[in-house]
Amino acid sequence: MKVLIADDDEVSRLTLSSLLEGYGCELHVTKDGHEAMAVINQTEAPELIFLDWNIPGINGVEITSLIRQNLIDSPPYVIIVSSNNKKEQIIEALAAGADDFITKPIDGLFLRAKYAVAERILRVQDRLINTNKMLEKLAYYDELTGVMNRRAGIVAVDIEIERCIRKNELLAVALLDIDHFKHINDFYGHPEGDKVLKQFSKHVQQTLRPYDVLCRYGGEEFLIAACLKKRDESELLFERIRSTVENMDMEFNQAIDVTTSIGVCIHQPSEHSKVANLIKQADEALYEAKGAGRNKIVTVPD
Amino acid sequence: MERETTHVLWDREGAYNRLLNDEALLQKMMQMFLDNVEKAMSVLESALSQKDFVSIKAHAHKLKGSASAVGALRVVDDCIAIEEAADANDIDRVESEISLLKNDISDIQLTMIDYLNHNTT
Repeated sequence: MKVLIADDDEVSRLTLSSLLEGYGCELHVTKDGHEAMAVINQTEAPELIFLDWNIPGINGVEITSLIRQNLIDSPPYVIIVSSNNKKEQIIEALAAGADDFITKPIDGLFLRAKYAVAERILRVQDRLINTNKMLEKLAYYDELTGVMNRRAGIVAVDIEIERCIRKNELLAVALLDIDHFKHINDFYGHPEGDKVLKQFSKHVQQTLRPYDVLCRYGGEEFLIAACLKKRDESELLFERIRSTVENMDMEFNQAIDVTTSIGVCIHQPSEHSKVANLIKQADEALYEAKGAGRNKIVTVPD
Repeated sequence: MERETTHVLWDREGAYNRLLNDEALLQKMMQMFLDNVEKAMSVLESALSQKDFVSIKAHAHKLKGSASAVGALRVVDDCIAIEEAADANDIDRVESEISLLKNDISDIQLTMIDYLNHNTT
Protein backbone atom coordinates (compact mmCIF):
# COMPACT_ATOMS: atom_id res chain seq x y z
CA MET A 1 0.00 0.00 0.00
CA LYS A 2 1.25 3.48 -0.91
CA VAL A 3 1.23 5.66 2.23
CA LEU A 4 1.87 9.40 2.54
CA ILE A 5 3.00 11.10 5.73
CA ALA A 6 2.91 14.90 5.76
CA ASP A 7 4.24 16.64 8.86
CA ASP A 8 6.55 19.63 9.28
CA ASP A 9 7.94 18.33 12.57
CA GLU A 10 10.93 16.04 12.11
CA VAL A 11 10.33 14.09 15.33
CA SER A 12 6.69 13.43 14.39
CA ARG A 13 7.73 12.30 10.91
CA LEU A 14 10.27 9.91 12.42
CA THR A 15 7.69 8.55 14.89
CA LEU A 16 5.11 7.77 12.21
CA SER A 17 7.51 6.46 9.61
CA SER A 18 9.35 4.24 12.12
CA LEU A 19 6.13 2.84 13.55
CA LEU A 20 4.84 2.11 10.03
CA GLU A 21 8.06 0.36 9.04
CA GLY A 22 7.48 -3.33 8.78
CA TYR A 23 3.88 -2.90 7.63
CA GLY A 24 5.08 -3.56 4.10
CA CYS A 25 3.87 -0.22 2.80
CA GLU A 26 5.55 2.14 0.35
CA LEU A 27 6.19 5.26 2.45
CA HIS A 28 6.32 8.81 1.08
CA VAL A 29 7.27 11.44 3.63
CA THR A 30 6.78 15.18 3.04
CA LYS A 31 7.33 18.34 5.08
CA ASP A 32 4.69 20.74 3.75
CA GLY A 33 1.31 20.93 2.11
CA HIS A 34 2.57 21.63 -1.40
CA GLU A 35 4.94 18.64 -1.35
CA ALA A 36 2.07 16.52 -0.06
CA MET A 37 -0.20 17.69 -2.90
CA ALA A 38 2.50 16.81 -5.45
CA VAL A 39 2.53 13.20 -4.15
CA ILE A 40 -1.28 13.08 -4.01
CA ASN A 41 -1.51 14.30 -7.62
CA GLN A 42 0.82 11.59 -8.91
CA THR A 43 -0.77 9.14 -11.37
CA GLU A 44 -0.91 6.57 -8.64
CA ALA A 45 -2.22 8.49 -5.62
CA PRO A 46 -1.45 7.21 -2.11
CA GLU A 47 -4.16 4.99 -0.65
CA LEU A 48 -3.56 5.98 2.96
CA ILE A 49 -2.63 9.54 3.97
CA PHE A 50 -1.53 10.87 7.36
CA LEU A 51 -1.84 14.67 7.36
CA ASP A 52 -0.64 16.86 10.17
CA TRP A 53 -3.27 19.56 10.68
CA ASN A 54 -0.77 22.41 10.88
CA ILE A 55 1.61 21.71 8.01
CA PRO A 56 2.76 24.89 6.25
CA GLY A 57 1.61 25.75 2.74
CA ILE A 58 -1.77 24.08 2.61
CA ASN A 59 -2.90 22.69 5.95
CA GLY A 60 -4.04 19.12 6.48
CA VAL A 61 -7.75 19.91 6.59
CA GLU A 62 -7.57 22.01 3.41
CA ILE A 63 -5.73 19.16 1.67
CA THR A 64 -8.45 16.77 2.84
CA SER A 65 -11.13 18.99 1.23
CA LEU A 66 -9.17 19.07 -2.04
CA ILE A 67 -8.79 15.28 -1.98
CA ARG A 68 -12.53 14.83 -1.51
CA GLN A 69 -13.29 17.21 -4.38
CA ASN A 70 -10.82 15.68 -6.82
CA LEU A 71 -10.16 12.02 -6.03
CA ILE A 72 -13.71 10.75 -6.28
CA ASP A 73 -13.25 7.52 -8.22
CA SER A 74 -10.76 5.95 -5.86
CA PRO A 75 -10.71 8.04 -2.68
CA PRO A 76 -7.76 7.57 -0.32
CA TYR A 77 -8.20 6.98 3.41
CA VAL A 78 -7.23 10.19 5.18
CA ILE A 79 -6.17 10.42 8.81
CA ILE A 80 -5.63 13.88 10.33
CA VAL A 81 -2.86 13.97 12.92
CA SER A 82 -2.84 16.77 15.46
CA SER A 83 -1.60 17.57 18.94
CA ASN A 84 -4.94 19.26 19.58
CA ASN A 85 -7.76 17.00 20.62
CA LYS A 86 -10.57 19.49 21.03
CA LYS A 87 -13.99 18.16 20.06
CA GLU A 88 -14.58 21.05 17.61
CA GLN A 89 -11.33 20.31 15.76
CA ILE A 90 -12.06 16.62 15.40
CA ILE A 91 -15.52 17.47 14.06
CA GLU A 92 -14.05 20.01 11.63
CA ALA A 93 -11.54 17.47 10.28
CA LEU A 94 -14.20 14.78 9.82
CA ALA A 95 -16.57 17.30 8.20
CA ALA A 96 -13.83 18.23 5.70
CA GLY A 97 -13.72 14.59 4.65
CA ALA A 98 -11.15 12.95 6.95
CA ASP A 99 -11.82 9.31 7.73
CA ASP A 100 -10.12 9.37 11.10
CA PHE A 101 -8.23 11.53 13.58
CA ILE A 102 -5.12 10.68 15.63
CA THR A 103 -3.89 12.80 18.51
CA LYS A 104 -0.20 13.31 19.18
CA PRO A 105 1.78 11.81 20.82
CA ILE A 106 1.24 8.86 18.52
CA ASP A 107 0.84 5.55 20.28
CA GLY A 108 2.17 2.53 18.39
CA LEU A 109 -0.62 0.17 19.45
CA PHE A 110 -3.29 2.74 18.67
CA LEU A 111 -1.69 3.39 15.26
CA ARG A 112 -1.63 -0.33 14.51
CA ALA A 113 -5.36 -0.58 15.24
CA LYS A 114 -6.16 2.49 13.12
CA TYR A 115 -4.00 1.13 10.28
CA ALA A 116 -5.93 -2.15 10.37
CA VAL A 117 -9.23 -0.25 10.10
CA ALA A 118 -7.88 1.75 7.14
CA GLU A 119 -6.72 -1.45 5.42
CA ARG A 120 -10.11 -3.08 5.96
CA ILE A 121 -12.06 -0.09 4.61
CA LEU A 122 -9.73 0.27 1.61
CA ARG A 123 -10.11 -3.44 0.81
CA VAL A 124 -13.91 -3.15 0.87
CA GLN A 125 -13.71 0.02 -1.25
CA ASP A 126 -11.44 -1.72 -3.77
CA ARG A 127 -13.86 -4.60 -4.11
CA LEU A 128 -16.75 -2.19 -4.61
CA ILE A 129 -14.86 -0.24 -7.27
CA ASN A 130 -13.90 -3.42 -9.12
CA THR A 131 -17.44 -4.79 -8.96
CA ASN A 132 -18.83 -1.49 -10.27
CA LYS A 133 -16.33 -1.51 -13.13
CA MET A 134 -17.31 -5.06 -14.00
CA LEU A 135 -21.04 -4.23 -13.87
CA GLU A 136 -20.47 -1.15 -16.00
CA LYS A 137 -18.58 -3.25 -18.51
CA LEU A 138 -21.32 -5.86 -18.58
CA ALA A 139 -23.94 -3.14 -19.08
CA TYR A 140 -22.19 -1.57 -22.08
CA TYR A 141 -19.91 -4.19 -23.59
CA ASP A 142 -20.34 -7.60 -25.11
CA GLU A 143 -18.72 -10.09 -22.79
CA LEU A 144 -17.36 -12.39 -25.52
CA THR A 145 -15.89 -9.90 -27.98
CA GLY A 146 -15.28 -6.85 -25.76
CA VAL A 147 -16.92 -4.49 -28.27
CA MET A 148 -20.04 -2.48 -27.33
CA ASN A 149 -23.27 -4.41 -26.94
CA ARG A 150 -26.37 -3.65 -29.00
CA ARG A 151 -27.92 -1.23 -26.46
CA ALA A 152 -24.73 0.81 -26.06
CA GLY A 153 -24.13 0.69 -29.84
CA ILE A 154 -27.53 2.20 -30.64
CA VAL A 155 -26.90 5.04 -28.16
CA ALA A 156 -23.48 5.56 -29.78
CA VAL A 157 -25.05 5.78 -33.26
CA ASP A 158 -27.42 8.46 -31.93
CA ILE A 159 -24.40 10.40 -30.67
CA GLU A 160 -22.78 10.02 -34.11
CA ILE A 161 -25.93 11.43 -35.75
CA GLU A 162 -25.63 14.52 -33.53
CA ARG A 163 -21.92 14.83 -34.34
CA CYS A 164 -22.61 14.62 -38.11
CA ILE A 165 -25.33 17.28 -37.84
CA ARG A 166 -22.90 19.60 -36.01
CA LYS A 167 -20.07 18.97 -38.49
CA ASN A 168 -22.32 18.70 -41.53
CA GLU A 169 -20.93 15.27 -42.38
CA LEU A 170 -22.43 12.09 -43.79
CA LEU A 171 -23.03 9.04 -41.64
CA ALA A 172 -22.45 5.49 -42.83
CA VAL A 173 -24.34 2.88 -40.84
CA ALA A 174 -23.39 -0.68 -41.74
CA LEU A 175 -24.45 -4.16 -40.72
CA LEU A 176 -21.84 -6.90 -41.09
CA ASP A 177 -22.63 -10.58 -41.05
CA ILE A 178 -20.05 -13.36 -40.83
CA ASP A 179 -20.73 -15.57 -43.84
CA HIS A 180 -21.72 -19.18 -43.17
CA PHE A 181 -21.29 -18.74 -39.44
CA LYS A 182 -23.80 -21.47 -38.71
CA HIS A 183 -21.65 -23.84 -40.70
CA ILE A 184 -18.53 -22.79 -38.73
CA ASN A 185 -20.38 -23.48 -35.47
CA ASP A 186 -21.79 -26.79 -36.67
CA PHE A 187 -18.62 -28.05 -38.30
CA TYR A 188 -15.90 -26.83 -35.92
CA GLY A 189 -17.97 -26.50 -32.75
CA HIS A 190 -19.15 -23.54 -30.69
CA PRO A 191 -15.81 -22.86 -28.96
CA GLU A 192 -14.21 -22.36 -32.40
CA GLY A 193 -17.22 -20.24 -33.41
CA ASP A 194 -16.62 -18.04 -30.37
CA LYS A 195 -12.96 -17.68 -31.37
CA VAL A 196 -14.05 -16.58 -34.85
CA LEU A 197 -16.34 -13.93 -33.32
CA LYS A 198 -13.47 -12.67 -31.13
CA GLN A 199 -10.94 -12.58 -33.96
CA PHE A 200 -13.46 -10.98 -36.31
CA SER A 201 -14.33 -8.14 -33.90
CA LYS A 202 -10.65 -7.62 -33.04
CA HIS A 203 -9.63 -7.28 -36.69
CA VAL A 204 -12.60 -5.07 -37.60
CA GLN A 205 -11.91 -2.83 -34.58
CA GLN A 206 -8.26 -2.48 -35.62
CA THR A 207 -9.28 -1.57 -39.16
CA LEU A 208 -11.69 1.15 -38.02
CA ARG A 209 -10.67 4.65 -37.00
CA PRO A 210 -10.61 5.15 -33.21
CA TYR A 211 -13.75 7.29 -33.28
CA ASP A 212 -15.88 4.90 -35.36
CA VAL A 213 -18.59 2.90 -33.59
CA LEU A 214 -18.52 -0.90 -33.53
CA CYS A 215 -21.00 -3.06 -31.66
CA ARG A 216 -22.11 -6.66 -31.67
CA TYR A 217 -25.65 -6.28 -32.91
CA GLY A 218 -26.59 -9.88 -32.18
CA GLY A 219 -25.30 -13.40 -32.95
CA GLU A 220 -22.79 -13.03 -35.78
CA GLU A 221 -24.03 -9.56 -36.81
CA PHE A 222 -22.05 -6.41 -36.08
CA LEU A 223 -23.01 -2.76 -36.48
CA ILE A 224 -20.66 0.02 -37.55
CA ALA A 225 -21.31 3.78 -37.62
CA ALA A 226 -18.74 6.07 -39.22
CA CYS A 227 -18.87 9.82 -39.91
CA LEU A 228 -17.69 10.65 -43.44
CA LYS A 229 -16.57 13.88 -45.05
CA LYS A 230 -17.20 12.43 -48.51
CA ARG A 231 -19.26 9.54 -49.80
CA ASP A 232 -16.14 7.90 -51.36
CA GLU A 233 -14.68 7.27 -47.92
CA SER A 234 -17.37 4.68 -47.29
CA GLU A 235 -16.24 2.43 -50.10
CA LEU A 236 -12.61 2.63 -48.97
CA LEU A 237 -13.45 1.95 -45.34
CA PHE A 238 -15.75 -1.02 -45.88
CA GLU A 239 -13.63 -2.56 -48.61
CA ARG A 240 -10.69 -2.38 -46.18
CA ILE A 241 -12.79 -4.21 -43.61
CA ARG A 242 -14.07 -6.83 -46.07
CA SER A 243 -10.56 -7.51 -47.31
CA THR A 244 -9.06 -7.58 -43.77
CA VAL A 245 -11.61 -10.21 -42.73
CA GLU A 246 -10.99 -12.26 -45.87
CA ASN A 247 -7.24 -12.24 -45.29
CA MET A 248 -7.09 -12.45 -41.52
CA ASP A 249 -4.97 -15.10 -39.91
CA MET A 250 -7.40 -16.92 -37.68
CA GLU A 251 -4.69 -18.33 -35.37
CA PHE A 252 -6.46 -21.68 -35.07
CA ASN A 253 -5.22 -25.23 -35.37
CA GLN A 254 -7.24 -25.67 -38.52
CA ALA A 255 -7.69 -23.21 -41.35
CA ILE A 256 -11.16 -21.66 -41.31
CA ASP A 257 -12.08 -19.37 -44.17
CA VAL A 258 -13.98 -16.41 -42.83
CA THR A 259 -15.60 -13.72 -44.96
CA THR A 260 -18.16 -11.04 -44.26
CA SER A 261 -21.09 -9.54 -46.12
CA ILE A 262 -21.67 -5.85 -45.51
CA GLY A 263 -24.80 -3.73 -45.99
CA VAL A 264 -24.18 -0.01 -45.79
CA CYS A 265 -26.62 2.87 -45.56
CA ILE A 266 -25.16 6.33 -46.25
CA HIS A 267 -27.20 9.11 -44.78
CA GLN A 268 -27.10 12.90 -44.38
CA PRO A 269 -28.22 13.19 -40.75
CA SER A 270 -30.83 15.72 -39.71
CA GLU A 271 -32.93 16.22 -36.63
CA HIS A 272 -35.47 13.80 -38.13
CA SER A 273 -32.95 10.95 -38.48
CA LYS A 274 -33.91 7.74 -36.71
CA VAL A 275 -31.35 5.06 -35.84
CA ALA A 276 -33.91 2.29 -36.41
CA ASN A 277 -34.55 3.47 -39.99
CA LEU A 278 -30.85 3.56 -40.80
CA ILE A 279 -30.33 0.06 -39.40
CA LYS A 280 -33.36 -1.19 -41.36
CA GLN A 281 -31.88 0.17 -44.61
CA ALA A 282 -28.46 -1.30 -43.79
CA ASP A 283 -30.15 -4.63 -43.08
CA GLU A 284 -31.88 -4.59 -46.47
CA ALA A 285 -28.53 -3.85 -48.14
CA LEU A 286 -26.95 -6.71 -46.18
CA TYR A 287 -29.67 -9.06 -47.39
CA GLU A 288 -28.85 -7.98 -50.93
CA ALA A 289 -25.10 -8.54 -50.38
CA LYS A 290 -25.75 -12.07 -49.14
CA GLY A 291 -28.06 -12.73 -52.11
CA ALA A 292 -25.33 -11.57 -54.46
CA GLY A 293 -23.05 -14.37 -53.31
CA ARG A 294 -21.68 -13.12 -49.95
CA ASN A 295 -18.25 -11.54 -49.21
CA LYS A 296 -19.67 -8.41 -50.84
CA ILE A 297 -20.56 -4.83 -49.95
CA VAL A 298 -23.89 -3.32 -50.95
CA THR A 299 -24.46 0.37 -50.30
CA VAL A 300 -27.80 2.21 -50.30
CA PRO A 301 -28.72 4.62 -51.66
CA ASP A 302 -26.58 3.40 -54.50
CA MET B 1 0.77 34.61 37.82
CA GLU B 2 2.30 31.19 38.43
CA ARG B 3 0.74 28.30 36.57
CA GLU B 4 0.49 25.01 38.36
CA THR B 5 2.04 22.06 36.64
CA THR B 6 0.91 18.57 37.46
CA HIS B 7 3.19 16.73 35.10
CA VAL B 8 6.62 15.22 35.60
CA LEU B 9 9.45 16.74 33.56
CA TRP B 10 9.95 13.59 31.48
CA ASP B 11 7.69 10.60 31.09
CA ARG B 12 10.24 8.23 29.56
CA GLU B 13 8.17 5.17 30.34
CA GLY B 14 5.11 6.54 28.52
CA ALA B 15 7.13 7.46 25.42
CA TYR B 16 8.88 4.07 25.45
CA ASN B 17 5.54 2.23 25.65
CA ARG B 18 4.02 4.29 22.86
CA LEU B 19 6.98 3.35 20.66
CA LEU B 20 6.26 -0.31 21.35
CA ASN B 21 9.29 -0.63 23.64
CA ASP B 22 11.73 0.35 20.92
CA GLU B 23 14.60 1.87 22.93
CA ALA B 24 16.70 2.62 19.84
CA LEU B 25 13.85 4.57 18.26
CA LEU B 26 13.21 6.47 21.48
CA GLN B 27 16.86 7.49 21.69
CA LYS B 28 16.91 8.51 18.03
CA MET B 29 13.87 10.69 18.63
CA MET B 30 15.38 12.16 21.80
CA GLN B 31 18.53 13.02 19.90
CA MET B 32 16.47 14.64 17.15
CA PHE B 33 14.47 16.58 19.74
CA LEU B 34 17.69 17.81 21.40
CA ASP B 35 19.14 18.79 18.00
CA ASN B 36 16.06 20.84 17.13
CA VAL B 37 15.01 22.35 20.43
CA GLU B 38 17.50 25.26 20.49
CA LYS B 39 16.35 26.40 17.06
CA ALA B 40 12.70 26.00 18.07
CA MET B 41 13.40 28.18 21.09
CA SER B 42 15.12 30.89 19.06
CA VAL B 43 12.31 31.17 16.47
CA LEU B 44 9.82 31.37 19.32
CA GLU B 45 11.79 34.19 20.97
CA SER B 46 12.12 35.99 17.68
CA ALA B 47 8.34 35.80 17.19
CA LEU B 48 7.95 37.10 20.74
CA SER B 49 10.18 40.09 20.04
CA GLN B 50 7.97 40.92 17.05
CA LYS B 51 4.80 40.30 19.07
CA ASP B 52 3.69 38.06 16.22
CA PHE B 53 0.99 36.05 17.98
CA VAL B 54 0.18 33.87 14.95
CA SER B 55 3.79 32.86 14.61
CA ILE B 56 4.20 32.37 18.38
CA LYS B 57 1.23 30.03 18.40
CA ALA B 58 2.43 28.09 15.34
CA HIS B 59 5.95 27.55 16.74
CA ALA B 60 4.68 26.62 20.20
CA HIS B 61 2.28 24.16 18.56
CA LYS B 62 5.04 22.53 16.55
CA LEU B 63 7.32 22.22 19.58
CA LYS B 64 4.40 20.72 21.51
CA GLY B 65 4.17 17.95 18.90
CA SER B 66 7.80 16.87 19.12
CA ALA B 67 7.96 17.32 22.91
CA SER B 68 4.94 15.09 23.36
CA ALA B 69 6.50 12.41 21.15
CA VAL B 70 9.51 12.09 23.50
CA GLY B 71 7.43 12.47 26.67
CA ALA B 72 8.71 15.94 27.67
CA LEU B 73 5.45 16.65 29.48
CA ARG B 74 6.36 19.92 31.19
CA VAL B 75 7.50 21.35 27.85
CA VAL B 76 4.15 20.25 26.42
CA ASP B 77 2.33 22.07 29.26
CA ASP B 78 4.40 25.22 28.63
CA CYS B 79 3.60 25.11 24.91
CA ILE B 80 -0.13 24.74 25.59
CA ALA B 81 0.03 27.75 27.94
CA ILE B 82 1.91 29.77 25.29
CA GLU B 83 -0.67 28.84 22.63
CA GLU B 84 -3.48 29.97 24.95
CA ALA B 85 -1.72 33.22 25.81
CA ALA B 86 -1.04 33.90 22.12
CA ASP B 87 -4.71 33.21 21.35
CA ALA B 88 -5.61 35.84 23.96
CA ASN B 89 -3.02 38.27 22.48
CA ASP B 90 -1.58 38.55 25.99
CA ILE B 91 2.07 39.44 25.43
CA ASP B 92 2.99 39.52 29.14
CA ARG B 93 1.65 36.05 29.67
CA VAL B 94 3.39 34.80 26.52
CA GLU B 95 6.64 36.25 27.83
CA SER B 96 6.33 34.65 31.26
CA GLU B 97 5.33 31.28 29.76
CA ILE B 98 8.29 31.38 27.38
CA SER B 99 10.57 32.02 30.30
CA LEU B 100 9.10 28.96 32.09
CA LEU B 101 9.57 27.01 28.87
CA LYS B 102 13.24 28.02 28.74
CA ASN B 103 13.79 26.62 32.21
CA ASP B 104 11.98 23.40 31.43
CA ILE B 105 13.88 23.00 28.20
CA SER B 106 17.14 23.49 30.00
CA ASP B 107 16.09 20.83 32.57
CA ILE B 108 14.93 18.33 29.94
CA GLN B 109 18.13 18.84 27.93
CA LEU B 110 20.25 17.99 30.95
CA THR B 111 18.07 15.01 31.86
CA MET B 112 17.99 13.59 28.36
CA ILE B 113 21.70 14.15 27.69
CA ASP B 114 22.50 12.41 30.96
CA TYR B 115 20.20 9.53 30.02
CA LEU B 116 21.75 9.21 26.57
CA ASN B 117 25.25 9.29 28.05
CA HIS B 118 24.45 6.36 30.29
CA ASN B 119 22.13 4.32 28.10
CA THR B 120 23.13 4.74 24.47
CA THR B 121 22.10 1.64 22.50
